[in-house]
Amino acid sequence: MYRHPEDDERAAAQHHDARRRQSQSMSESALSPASRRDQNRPGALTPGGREVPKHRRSEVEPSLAWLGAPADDDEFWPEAVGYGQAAGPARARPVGNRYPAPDDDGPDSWQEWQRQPWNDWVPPPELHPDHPSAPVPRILLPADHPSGPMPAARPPGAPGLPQRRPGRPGTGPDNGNRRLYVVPNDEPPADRRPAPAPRTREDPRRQFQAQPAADHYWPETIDYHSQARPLQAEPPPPAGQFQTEQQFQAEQQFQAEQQFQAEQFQDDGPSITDSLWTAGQVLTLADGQAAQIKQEARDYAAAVREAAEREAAAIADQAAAMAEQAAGQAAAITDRANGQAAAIREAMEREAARRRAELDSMSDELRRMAAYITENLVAPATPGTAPAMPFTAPPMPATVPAPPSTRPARPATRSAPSAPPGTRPARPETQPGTRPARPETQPRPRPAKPDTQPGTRPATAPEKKPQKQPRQLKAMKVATAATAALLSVALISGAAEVGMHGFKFFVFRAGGTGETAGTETDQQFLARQAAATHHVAAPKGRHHKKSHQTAEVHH
Amino acid sequence: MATTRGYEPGLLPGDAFDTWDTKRKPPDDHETERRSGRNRVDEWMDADFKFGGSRIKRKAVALILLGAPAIAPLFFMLPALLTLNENTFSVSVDDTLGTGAEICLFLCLLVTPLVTLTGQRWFVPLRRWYGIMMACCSIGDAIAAGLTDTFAGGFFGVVAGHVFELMGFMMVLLVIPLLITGNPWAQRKLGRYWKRLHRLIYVIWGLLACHLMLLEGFGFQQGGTDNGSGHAGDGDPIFHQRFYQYSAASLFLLTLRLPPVKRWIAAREREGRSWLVVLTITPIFALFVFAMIFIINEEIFKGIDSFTEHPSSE
Repeated sequence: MYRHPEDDERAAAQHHDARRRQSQSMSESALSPASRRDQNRPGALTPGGREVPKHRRSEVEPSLAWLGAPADDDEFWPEAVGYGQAAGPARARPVGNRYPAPDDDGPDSWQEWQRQPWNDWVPPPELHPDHPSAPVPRILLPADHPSGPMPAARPPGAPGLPQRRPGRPGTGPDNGNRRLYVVPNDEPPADRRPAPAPRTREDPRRQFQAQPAADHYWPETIDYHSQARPLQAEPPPPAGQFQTEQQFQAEQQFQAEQQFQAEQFQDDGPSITDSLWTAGQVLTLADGQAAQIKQEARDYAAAVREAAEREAAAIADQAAAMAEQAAGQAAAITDRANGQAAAIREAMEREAARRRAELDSMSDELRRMAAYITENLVAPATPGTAPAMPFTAPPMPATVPAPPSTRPARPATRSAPSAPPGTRPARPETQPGTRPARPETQPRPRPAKPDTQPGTRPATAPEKKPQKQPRQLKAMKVATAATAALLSVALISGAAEVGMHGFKFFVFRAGGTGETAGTETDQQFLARQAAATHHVAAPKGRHHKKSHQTAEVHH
Repeated sequence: MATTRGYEPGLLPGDAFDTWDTKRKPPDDHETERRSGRNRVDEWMDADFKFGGSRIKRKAVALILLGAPAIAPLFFMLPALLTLNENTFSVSVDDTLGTGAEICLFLCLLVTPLVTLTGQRWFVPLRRWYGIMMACCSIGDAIAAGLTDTFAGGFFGVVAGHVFELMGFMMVLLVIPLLITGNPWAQRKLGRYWKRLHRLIYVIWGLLACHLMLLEGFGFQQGGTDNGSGHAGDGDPIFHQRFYQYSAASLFLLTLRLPPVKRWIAAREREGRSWLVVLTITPIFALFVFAMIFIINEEIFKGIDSFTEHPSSE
């Protein structure tokens, strides 16, 4: 039973729709602005009518072949995935470098493909639909054209097998993959057995990329069974289109191959061998996909690994720099701390030395004082108390040498009972007051500073420079002498008066002695006060003016 | 000039060990720290003002006005001196010139306590002026008393015949070197000894106490002439007695010269509690003013009598 491949291919094509869209976007990205302006322009006018775009690319970009431009590598599909493994030129320079050509063990040229056995065929390299060597006619004939084939519905093929399918609706009647459509027109579709997979060298993967439309079947214009030479319907390209010999040869080879396939298909028909071949192709396709996916994964992993390595290297460098900086800071802090510690230690040592020297001076002073008291005051009277003097002193610092050991021996000699009580005992050889020699190791922090304490001044003071008597002191002495002379005058006078008149006369005064004569002043004052009391009373009232008399008041 | 040494917690023990005796020297002047800053009154006194065609400092005018009364004792005796009125000299010269010398001495001694209290220094030059006038008055009193007094003996017999006169005579003799050295030249000559020499003023201050005490005794004035300066017209038997006048005035002057008092005042002023100083000093200062009022009153009364050559022997 013949099955139309549309329904079977629909599901599979949906899986590949994303990939196809990706390829489409990459193809469109290569379009120039001028080409984009010509997207809606109708096809070129040909003797059979307007040229129908066979591929979506032809809708947006006119064919370079019709413009007489030499065919270059760009005429092939840049998608290595969609056009088989043998798309040499396109694979050699993939668009956008998104699909690097796998380095598999496939043939590199058509000659090699030709030489390969039949079973080792792989899908042939895809040509651009606009390429003159394209195996399908590009002339859109009306349905009722006498030279056109009868439209026939194509039932889907066996599920799981690559199915031929019409072009996408809206994109044109052809999807550029019509070689896969094998529609026997001698039998009704219901009676047809499942269409065998076409034995073409086209990449089977291309069969899944077109989305079939149920209502828009592109009427098959080529009947492989009835028309042995479908490519002949295409008008020859203008002269000069075949620029190279290789292109011409490839076209001829491909046409011959197509013819051979059509004849063989017509003669033999579908068989188990074809199914196996198809299965082999499917496996090959799966292997290719797997290899591509693996390669992509490998590339992706390599890219990720490389990025990770770069990031790790950057992090490592940064960490190393930070570690180095931290080490420098730590070293600086350590040095600074060491310097501060050394300075503090030195200052404390100096302070300790100074304190030690002060304690030494104090202890020396106490020792001298004790020795003086012992020698001059206490020792002659109470010889037994002399040894106790050192113990009354404050504790000696550790650096001060111990008192001479000969000190306690003196009381023993003085307290000897044989000595007469009135005789002064002989002094011992070692005087208590003689200080022991200062050890050399004892620090002397301020040797030049004069000792300001009165007791610590050495007995043999260095001879001072004879200072010149200050001039001010001389003047002061003169003033003092003058004052003393004046006072002596007063004292001599007083002494003379005492001698002349006696001490009693000098100290005590008799009544009126020394009093200013003429104390009438007081009487005058009292008289004035008494006179003031005898004031004249002024008459009051209106009659006082008449009398003109004053009344003297006596108190 | 030295500052009062206060407690300094930051002193190191080493300093206490080594420099104790050098830093604990008794300061010769107990001026407070705030005196190091210039007082606003001093700044105001230093300002000039235009008088006629010249510019005169306010301080000069104030010093003249305050120093002029010191000439009053001599001015009171000037008519008697010009007329050689022996009666006036013999009667009231001791009261006029002697009291005048006492007033000048107290005013001279008042300068330093006022500096301590107010912190102002613009009136410090009055100290020398009052000292000079005190010396002049005392010397004049001694000369007049020696020449005109009725004591037995000659000049020295009069001025040294009795103990109270001898005290006065010694005061006069001690004033002479102070008068001679009371000038910048002597200050340069004596240098740091100048201050030491002029501390003789305190000896004179003490001799004045003896002089007045021996002159009139400690008894109150009872209207007689043996122990007072005349009759008490106002009924106050105490403050007409010269020794009590002297004591009341000297209390204030002596108190503010004591080092502990000066340190206390300086501490209170550093604390900003000057009101406490004023409150504490006010009673003795009032006593000083009260005594000075009596002294000045007698000076004016006796002086006017001497000036009119009608001397009063009260």
